[in-house]
Amino acid sequence: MVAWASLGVFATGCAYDEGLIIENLQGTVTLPAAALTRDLVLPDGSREAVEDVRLIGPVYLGVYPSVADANVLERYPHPELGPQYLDGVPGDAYPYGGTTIGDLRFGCIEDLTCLMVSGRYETWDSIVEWFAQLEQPLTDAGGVPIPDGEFLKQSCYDLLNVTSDAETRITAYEDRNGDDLINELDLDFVKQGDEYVADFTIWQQDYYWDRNQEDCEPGVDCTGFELWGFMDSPDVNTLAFSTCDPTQGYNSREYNRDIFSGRPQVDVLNLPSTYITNGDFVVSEPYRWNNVLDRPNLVLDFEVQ
Amino acid sequence: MFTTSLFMMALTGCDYSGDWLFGGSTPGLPDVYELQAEGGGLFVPADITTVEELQAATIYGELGPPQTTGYGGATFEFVGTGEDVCIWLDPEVATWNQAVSERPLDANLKWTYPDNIYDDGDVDLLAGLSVYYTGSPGEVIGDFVVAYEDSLGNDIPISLAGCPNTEGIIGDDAVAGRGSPEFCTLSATDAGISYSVLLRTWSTPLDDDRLSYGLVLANGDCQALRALGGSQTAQQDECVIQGESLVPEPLSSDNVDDYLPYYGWDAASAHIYPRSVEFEFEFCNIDPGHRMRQFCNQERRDIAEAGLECLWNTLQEDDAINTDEKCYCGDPSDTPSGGAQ
Repeated sequence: MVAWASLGVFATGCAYDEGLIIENLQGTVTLPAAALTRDLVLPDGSREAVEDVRLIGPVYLGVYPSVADANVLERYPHPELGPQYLDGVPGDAYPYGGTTIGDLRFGCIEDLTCLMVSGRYETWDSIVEWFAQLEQPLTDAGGVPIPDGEFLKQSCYDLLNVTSDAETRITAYEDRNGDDLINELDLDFVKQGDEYVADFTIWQQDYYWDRNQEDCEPGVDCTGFELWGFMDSPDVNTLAFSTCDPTQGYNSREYNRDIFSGRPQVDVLNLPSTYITNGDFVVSEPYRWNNVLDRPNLVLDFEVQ
Repeated sequence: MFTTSLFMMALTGCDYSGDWLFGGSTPGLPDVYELQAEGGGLFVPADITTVEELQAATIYGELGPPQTTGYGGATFEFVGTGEDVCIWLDPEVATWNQAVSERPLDANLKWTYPDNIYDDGDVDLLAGLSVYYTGSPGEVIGDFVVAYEDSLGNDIPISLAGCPNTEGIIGDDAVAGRGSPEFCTLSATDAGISYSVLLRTWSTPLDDDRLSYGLVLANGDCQALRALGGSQTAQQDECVIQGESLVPEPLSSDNVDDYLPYYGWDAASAHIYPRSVEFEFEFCNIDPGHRMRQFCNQERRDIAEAGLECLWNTLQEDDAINTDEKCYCGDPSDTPSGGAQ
């Protein structure tokens, strides 16, 4: 009898429910065309409106207890804040988790520190062409103009000790849509009508819900956390991203060259207002994630001005 | 038979004490201690403008290893002055990573001798307004963490410690590593308001389980104290407080309530390990050169000529302390070969 009881205890132990809800949260993010459109000044002084996915910066997504409307905490919708207890440091938004769509990458030359995001460039040549088009032609360590993408590619392979585009994750490198081609349709954001849409996954996210709510099932119909985010647009003058710290990251020292690759700031989701600047696009209608199986579409439609 | 086995397993479980997980206690040496100013009462930050004043204001104490699964350490309080207050703490003694390259660079050459890893301890320094401190002085070690409840009713722990205010971030001087000095400036303290300082034991030395330390509470910014100690680097910070390595002498009483630290250099100097000050001076490398290695070689030769052997990992009994066998440098035969094998 004791033996059977013991076995029962062991079996029960295997089925012990810790009450944790951990899920891969998935959905899409939509950017209006305005978020990737800029007026470029041409050599003759005229202006030309350019709509290009290469103007999409890193998109940061976070899940928060709640999000306040514009002009409550900031001039744009902003997650609720904890207490401010340090002089000069805003209150922390205390995100439960988050992810990015596209991450800051190192273009392997000093000119590209804090200027590159994964999932935005189809080919190596398109990087060189883009900066030439923006009147910021890329140069090597000696100040000599970089002629084509092959030079950039080899620079990365040598510097990072890699042998494939998949390892550098700067250009399109995999057939995401299964059309047997690797092209602009395999970047993060793909044009659908007048908008650009990207998939996202927040991996292994702990689920949080309203602890004071009764008569509901967490992860199904309780009031859950809110999904919010913003797109860090490239600076108007330098094209750099404000969420990138150019003084940190991989340090390349060779002969007379001593450069840093840059790296994401460590508290972007905690202190978003520190990094959101004019021209960035913010979510105006956050998504209240009650059911973990929902697949929301988040629209980055609020331009910070 | 199966039933009997289960009962035996249950009984064995009850007999398990886990004593071996805890460091040995020294009679009379507290693991949780409330520091008080000399003569009793609250600490008062000292005005320090000379090395002599620095030495006079230094408190030399010891802590035993925690005897429970809770934290051990020491606490004290002082009243805010309205100005900056510096807390400087230096646990024994000094530690370094041995350079094992076959062809070390000039900068690494002085570290090619191994460290004595058995004589170093670590204490983390935290401080803040007493109202936020959750411990009970002399009884239970706490922290400065309070719970903030977000709009969904979830608790978020927030550390309201003024020192450090970014605990866990690499490079913060108040949570430096093993054997390293830890210091922090409480900026513009609130006049008349009580502050608590926590020296939280992280590890006690393996050789004697007694963690000695030097402590200074001073008016002003810690950078002024650094300058006074001649320090310009983290390594040289070791020389701001000198002599924090105390000989593990038998205590005057087995009652932890009778324990008292030494107040000032004059009181402590007779109890400081011989050559420990010289050792730290070599470590600090304030004079350029590769003197650390020279010191270690000389230490080895002196011990051998005296017909003695270095003590490293030996847990010294109270009645068998031979300070002549104390070695600050490690065992060179423990040196691994250079490069990854």
